[in-house]
Amino acid sequence: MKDMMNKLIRRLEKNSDVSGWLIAQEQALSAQGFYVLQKLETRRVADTTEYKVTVYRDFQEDETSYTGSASFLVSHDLTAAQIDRQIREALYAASFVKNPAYTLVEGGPKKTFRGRSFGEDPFQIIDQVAEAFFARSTPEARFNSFEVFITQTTTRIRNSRGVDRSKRLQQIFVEAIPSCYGAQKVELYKTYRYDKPDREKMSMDAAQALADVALRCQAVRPEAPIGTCAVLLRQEEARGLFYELIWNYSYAGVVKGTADKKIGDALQPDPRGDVLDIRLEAPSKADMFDQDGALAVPTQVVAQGLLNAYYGNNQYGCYLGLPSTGSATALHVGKGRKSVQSMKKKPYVEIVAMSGIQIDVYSDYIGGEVRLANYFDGERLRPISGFSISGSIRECLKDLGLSREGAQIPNYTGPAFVRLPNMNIL
Amino acid sequence: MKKYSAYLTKKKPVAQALLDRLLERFEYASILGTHVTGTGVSVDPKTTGVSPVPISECGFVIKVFQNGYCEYSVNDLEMGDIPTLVDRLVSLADRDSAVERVRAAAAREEAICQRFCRPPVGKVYPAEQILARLTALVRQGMDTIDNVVTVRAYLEHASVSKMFLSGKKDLEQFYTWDTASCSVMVRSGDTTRMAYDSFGSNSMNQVFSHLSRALPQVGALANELLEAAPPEPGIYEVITDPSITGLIAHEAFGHGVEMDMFVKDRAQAREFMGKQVASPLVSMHDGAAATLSAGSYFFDDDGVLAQDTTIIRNGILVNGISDLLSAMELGTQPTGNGRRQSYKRKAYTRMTNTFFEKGSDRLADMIKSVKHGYYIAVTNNGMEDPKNWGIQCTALYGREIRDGIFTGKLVSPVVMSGHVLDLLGSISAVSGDFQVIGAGSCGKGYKEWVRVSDGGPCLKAKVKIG
Repeated sequence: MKDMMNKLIRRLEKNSDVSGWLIAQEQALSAQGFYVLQKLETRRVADTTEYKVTVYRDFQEDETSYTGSASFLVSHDLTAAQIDRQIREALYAASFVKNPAYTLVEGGPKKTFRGRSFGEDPFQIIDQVAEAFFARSTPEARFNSFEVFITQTTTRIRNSRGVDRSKRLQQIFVEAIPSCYGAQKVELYKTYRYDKPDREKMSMDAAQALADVALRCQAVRPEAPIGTCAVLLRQEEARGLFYELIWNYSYAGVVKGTADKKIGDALQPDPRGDVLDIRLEAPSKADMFDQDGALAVPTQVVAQGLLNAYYGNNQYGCYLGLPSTGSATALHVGKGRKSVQSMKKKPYVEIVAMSGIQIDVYSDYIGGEVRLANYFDGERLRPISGFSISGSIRECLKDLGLSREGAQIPNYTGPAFVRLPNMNIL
Repeated sequence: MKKYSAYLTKKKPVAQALLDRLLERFEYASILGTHVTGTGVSVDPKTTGVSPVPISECGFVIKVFQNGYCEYSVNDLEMGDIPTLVDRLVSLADRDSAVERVRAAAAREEAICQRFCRPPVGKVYPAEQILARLTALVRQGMDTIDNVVTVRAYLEHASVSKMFLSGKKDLEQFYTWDTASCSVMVRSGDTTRMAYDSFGSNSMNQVFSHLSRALPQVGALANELLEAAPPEPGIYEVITDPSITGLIAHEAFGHGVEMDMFVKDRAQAREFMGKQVASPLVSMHDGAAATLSAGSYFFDDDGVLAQDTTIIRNGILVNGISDLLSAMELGTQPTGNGRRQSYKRKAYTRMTNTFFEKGSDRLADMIKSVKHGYYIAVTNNGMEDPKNWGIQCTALYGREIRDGIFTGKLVSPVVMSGHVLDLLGSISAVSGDFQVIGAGSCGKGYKEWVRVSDGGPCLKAKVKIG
């Protein structure tokens, strides 16, 4: 597919019915290692280059202006005639897509964003990652399944309004299943993302994973009903909660009428606890534009518990007369007033692992099955398992606790712990 | 695409030439070619979209064995690429590893050369006609549903072509599948609720008919949900609709018997083979050939022919499901469950169409027998824990039953959780109804998404809610 980008552009520009176009090129090189019971089972390489071409057609009907669009994928070499046919078919489909008119993202100077390059042979790094994790295993606790993906993705977006932006992102993704053979045979599910091969950090993560699963080995179902209790969420579940809280306030939500709050409305009516500040920023210095080629615009969505701004993409931004917030999708949440130590003075259930936190903002529900937690009843701290939590989001937001200690995981910078009061424990 | 991919046909000689070169060097080699095309059309009152179906892909997986398995995924194959690809695979296979390798053997295969084709039933409408019909449906919903905020309708048509070549196998398959969904959001005062429905078929006419019937019901349900609150946590008798029955089958003993989990010592089910794991009323299947639905195909991504596997027979766990590699490591026969999210990913043991067999109870009698509980309906999501048999199934709503009669009260959402054996052991009635819902997708952990279906009859069980 040599020079496919320019070939596509030439064909698109030759077609006078094309009002606009956008091409997203994604080139990915992924080295993958799969381990079973801490032994290497399979090595893989995925070396791919693909293009998504979107064709836009502006038209008028009954004095209303529309911008229709349709897309096609290119994953292998095409002749000029084949490309022309794909463009014609997409144009035809686009002529029936009656979206209110909007303009594509406007270009500036050609810009390339590059993340950190690992520089080394990826399979050497995979070996190092596996060694760093497996070195922490013991006869009682090990990683029964372990997968490492080292992926370098180069994305280039070009459009008919002069956008030409590239970004190169490199990431190590690990899926690890720490397993413990003690009083019971148990496991936990863990994933990790690293932006550099930091052996020390990996070793610490491995040790923590094995400590957590060893704790699950000792965990039992609560012997007596707990009733209601404060629940402490760690950053992974906190990230899920905060995304759900602002999900509805995108530009698309406003245009479609699904957003149930206006700017200035309270997400936390009559708060007695900490108030929320939620800002969206680019996930990294290299991940600076979105699939339309729009640059990230940091956006304070929630300020002091009130809805402060909507966020969203170019198309819906145009409908509202607001700028696209681009790839600003990572959460930055303000920290609170209380220390973790003070949060842990009264009875609490600290969630270590859940099956998956369930949040339904419309039904005012938060809960789920807990695989492992630390329970402090006011006197004794012990690991518990095999129970569920549930509660009202509105009630939680009234008396929310955000730790003053912070934490950072991919797409989340914010309180290390979030305290939800009066949750039902069953 | 209405027939097997012309692109794969064109590339077959290249793939065969590459395979021949690899077989000179490796004990085992195979090439999987995939070409999935199709269009998804979405409509709501404000915007419409026409895009390639999310599962669109076109590429190849080249797999070799030399003291272990190595794979190389590429999006195109040219004759000129063959020397480079062979070199890269040799280099990948020859690499030392700092970590000990699994002792594996080369795949043993039986010779088979076969072509399979399952064309769509009836007409496949072009995007503009799909758009027109969905637009009319959405307008109708906006005009007729009380308290409506928005209505969304989506339909996609996917055409799947796959080719599998190895020393002994030469397989080709083509099939199509259509999925559709609709959702309705309603609002009254400060209360907002959403209801939805999804459906799959290999007939686009059938999908359209289902959508037309479903949308008014979804609108009515969304309005009923305006009065719903989350249920009081507790242990309840429940009747599950076929979608929730399917979700239980999928989460309880679908993931639990994926035999790559046996190899990794991740599944407790291995120790329960031949033992009672459910009420004697329960029998359960999985298989791409077990029924015609979203998880149906003719051969899997390892080139193993599709099967119908009985997992539970009368409450006894009798079989697991497996991909080729896991079956070899366990010394069992593969069941045609080796599936990849795409050609860029590894094959794992995955479910296909998973369901409980129907029983002989009448649904009306089952409802009458409930002292206090819920009729639970419409799948939201589920999670499994095969090692420790925790299960979590979330339903959109439950309809309260007291003394065998619906009270008219709805609860939403309904999060069921507990221990798999407790749940399956508590099943006390199985209805004679049967439905498989062919519009699902399933991840392994939180990745590796594949199309699946699940379903069955209505079940009566005792579960923890809340």
